[in-house]
Amino acid sequence: MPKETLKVDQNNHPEQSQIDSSLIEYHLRLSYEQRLEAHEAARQLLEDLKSAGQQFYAKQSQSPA
Amino acid sequence: MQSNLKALLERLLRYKIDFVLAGGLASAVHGSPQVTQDIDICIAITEEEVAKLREALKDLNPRHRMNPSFKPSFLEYPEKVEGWNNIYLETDLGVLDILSELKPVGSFARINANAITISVYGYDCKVISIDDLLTIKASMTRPKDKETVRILTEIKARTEKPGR
Repeated sequence: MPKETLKVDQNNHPEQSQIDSSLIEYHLRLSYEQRLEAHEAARQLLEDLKSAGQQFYAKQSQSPA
Repeated sequence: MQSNLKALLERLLRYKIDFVLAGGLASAVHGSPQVTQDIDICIAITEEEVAKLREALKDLNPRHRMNPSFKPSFLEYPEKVEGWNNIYLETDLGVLDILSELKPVGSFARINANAITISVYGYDCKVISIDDLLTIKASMTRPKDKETVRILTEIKARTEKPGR
């Protein structure tokens, strides 16, 4: 049943492959320019999250043991 | 609309979805240099929370992505979320995986209890703890997960205070 194919679990390897494939398929539908812009937005997000993480760990390291 | 994970995460935060960030973005928070192409969040998949998600995503054409020949809109399907543990979506802003349980650690409640909170884009954002992330990644067999375990283990060793 198609409906059932939407209900899969993570950490199950054949299903994880399906999850990974659908992610790749999504990005392959984008044009080259769109993929570049998507990559740049993702890169910016990663940088922002790393910066926020650094602030978290910096505060943690200053807190009393 | 252009794929933009930054805008998608901001959207989830702005609509006050009660989630814990997981996956590759959480790895980045903890210092991993790896990249990712999607957003993984852990939430309690309840009618109330899914209604909030639908409101947040309603203009982003959210649809299920697991079956190339069957991609119903998330705004209409499923009618009832009972029995749904995970929801895998694509939206106009990017791919979003919604997970109610992260094996082998446990459910949203368990993940949420150990989560850290960071400040990003003017919002508090909960992120899965490095210990829980390590446990999950260690249970997976993909090469990229093995690499994540190696990196996070090293980061954890360097950031932990002696005697703690």
